[in-house]
This record gives sequence, structure tokens and C-alpha cells, in this order.
Amino acid sequence: MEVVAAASDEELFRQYAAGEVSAFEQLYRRHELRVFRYLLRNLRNRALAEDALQETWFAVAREARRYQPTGARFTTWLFTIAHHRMIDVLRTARATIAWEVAEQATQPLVAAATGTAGAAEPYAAALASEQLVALLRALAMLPEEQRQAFLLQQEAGLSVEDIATVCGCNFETAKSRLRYARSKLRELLQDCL
Amino acid sequence: MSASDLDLLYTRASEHDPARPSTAVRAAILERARELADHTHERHSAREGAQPRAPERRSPTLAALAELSRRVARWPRIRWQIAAPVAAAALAAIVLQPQLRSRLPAPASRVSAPTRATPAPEPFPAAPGRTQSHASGAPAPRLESPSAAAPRAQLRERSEVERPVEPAAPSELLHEAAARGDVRWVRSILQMYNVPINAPDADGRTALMLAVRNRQEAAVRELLGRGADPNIADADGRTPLEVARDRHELSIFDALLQAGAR
Repeated sequence: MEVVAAASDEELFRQYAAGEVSAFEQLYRRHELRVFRYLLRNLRNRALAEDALQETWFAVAREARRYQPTGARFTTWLFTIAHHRMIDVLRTARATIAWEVAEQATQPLVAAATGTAGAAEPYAAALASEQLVALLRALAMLPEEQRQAFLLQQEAGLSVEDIATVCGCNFETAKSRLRYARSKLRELLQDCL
Repeated sequence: MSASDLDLLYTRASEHDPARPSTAVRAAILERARELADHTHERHSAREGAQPRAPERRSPTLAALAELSRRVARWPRIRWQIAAPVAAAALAAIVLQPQLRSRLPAPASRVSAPTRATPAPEPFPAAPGRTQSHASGAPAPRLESPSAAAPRAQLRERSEVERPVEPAAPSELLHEAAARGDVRWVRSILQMYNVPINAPDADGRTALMLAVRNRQEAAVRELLGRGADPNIADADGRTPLEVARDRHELSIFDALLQAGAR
């Protein structure tokens, strides 16, 4: 079966449920980074984020035959699984793993972002890496639930209603978390522009 | 900073975020997806009688591991497929035991063949009442020679002596399955034995009532779906709806209401 590049997530997932592996690969590549960033920026621990990423996609592959395309969007469903895996990991990891402070978490990123920047655009690369560090620091300063709501909006492109569904709270709560998160981030990132 | 500036900054900064999952994680995810797809395809092929798809190229170690995990995953299903027919056969043997014993032919050496007329089978040992009905104009009993009747009588006596426990009646099995919440078993009993779904036990409790009393929501829904009457009260006059209410089983209560319980 020929997989069309512009096929929707739901269509690709339906093809995978019918046994088409390349559809899953395409779907995975499409969402890999966004899910990983969501997990990493919430967990702030690479090993835990990778574990959660792996479990998320295992669950996606396992549940393929039961997925109902008439229900939630694939992205909402995917991030719901990722969110629950992340909560599970947080619950178990809190007791055993020391929480990385924002400074420690962002230091390797500074070096990496600067190192990967192309020589042709040194200023843009430096600016972007500076913004990335500032963003990561600001995100780390947000309360957990506000950060989750903001990252779900940015990485998954979810509506307030979908964020409420994923987080298991009501619409007003999700809206309020998002509003506080954005307000706080604007304040913290004031100097970045 | 405006709202759109924040979104723009997030997007621009994230584009330069070098964080990537390791290749090992990616490989493990894609490998698992491939295994599950192969498994799905095999099931489709088996159902449609098609040729299995040629396996994709992968290392022998991974292939062996995948095969092993597939076999381990299949074992519970295979075990169930073996256990279910064996259990059904054992149950059928227990239930039909008296009938089979009464149908045992008398030993050839001790039967005088020419005297056998219409070979109407007698499924159960004759009860005293039935003998009397023969005398009062009922169909004539079949002809048997005294020599054939003697071993049969011995067999009846022996079967009554040797049988230590009466096999459970199908309605009792239904009640037990409903009380335990074993939906699959409830379904099987109803299909295999044609048991009246509203048959009461000694205390006037139907299978539905027993399922409600034991908070077995799945069994309640199964029985209601198959037409169980939700308004049959037990010997104390309590209906399933009252029992569900007293036990604070709201979902069962709702299911009963939807099925017309009062």
C-alpha cells in the first residue's frame, strides 16, 4: 500500500492498524520530537523522558486496533497517553531521583545549541540558543500543572478543551492554568525580545 | 511581549533545541511496532487463508526475540482454547452420566435378541409414577425379556448406589456463574443447556438477583441483554432494584432501570 506523504494522522494510524508498518514510521517521525520535548521539558531528566517516550509509543502500537478515529483526534489521544505515562514516571521517580534544578538542566543545552549552530549564521544561532536557555529556565519556574497545560498547547497544538481532557480537569481549570502560565512566561521572558 | 510573540519565541527556540531521543529508543519503538503489525497481518492471513507476508529484513537475534515474545504472548490464549473444550466435555459427561448409564446395552451373552420389539430408548430410570401411568392407558411399555431386564435393573441399582453426588442442574450452574460474575460461563450455559433464564433457586432468587447481590455488573448486563426479567422478587419479596439500591450500586441500579425494573 502506498503511503501518501500528506495523509492525516488518523489515516496513517488506520493503515498501521491494518498492518502497514511504514505508516507507523511516518507517524512516529511526525510526532517524535514534539512528544519527546513535552516529556523532557516536564520531567527534566533525559533517561526518564526516553523511558516515557518508549512506553508511550509501545502503548500507541498496542492499542492501534482499538483506536476509534471517530472519537478524539489522534494528537489528543497520543498526548493523553504521553501525559499519563509522564505522570506515572513522575510519581515513581520523585522518591528516588533528585530533582534537577533549572540551571543544571539547561547548561548542557547551551553548549549543544551553540555547538550545532551553523557558522553561516552565528548571530541567529547564538540568539536562538540564548532564547532556548531562557525559555527552558522560565518553563522550569512554572508550577507543574501550568507547565503541562502550556506545553500541551505548544507541542500538541491542543485547544483548551483538549487540554482539559488530557489533564483530566474541567474546562475552566485548564483555561486558568494556561492563562497563568502564559502570563508568567511573558513576564519572565520580557528581556528576550 | 504579546501572546503571539511568546508563541513565536517558543517555536524559534524549540527549533534550535538539540534534544533528541537516542537511536536505541527509536529503534526499539519501531521494532515493537513492526512486531505488532506482523502479528496483525498473520492473524488476517490465517483468517483469510492467504499466504503469510515475507518477513522484513532484521537481525537474527531480534527476529528470535520477537518470535519468542510472540509465542509467550500467545500461550494464554492457546491454553484457554485447550482448557475450554476439555472443561465443556467434562461437564457434559457429568450431566449426561445418568442418561448414558441407562442407555448401556445389556451384555450380548445374557440377552435373548428375538424378543426385542420397538427399541424405544428410556432416557432416565423409570420413576414409580410413570409405572402407574402405564397401567392407566399410557403407551405400552416396550417388551423386554426377563433376562434382559435383570442386568438393566442391576445397572440402575448400581448407578444409584455408586453415584455419590448428584450432578448440578444447569440452572444451578447458571446461578453460580451469575453470582461469580463469570459472563462467559453465563453465556455458555444459556446457549448449551437452554436453561430458562428466570429459573429461581431454592430461595426464589433468579440468576439476575444473584448477580445483583454479588455486585457483578457485567453479569447483570449480560443477563438483562438476554432478556432476564428484572422484576422477579425473591422469597422475601425483594426485587433486584431494591437490592441494588441498598448496596449503593448505582451503575447496576441504572442498568436495571433501563431494562424496565420497577
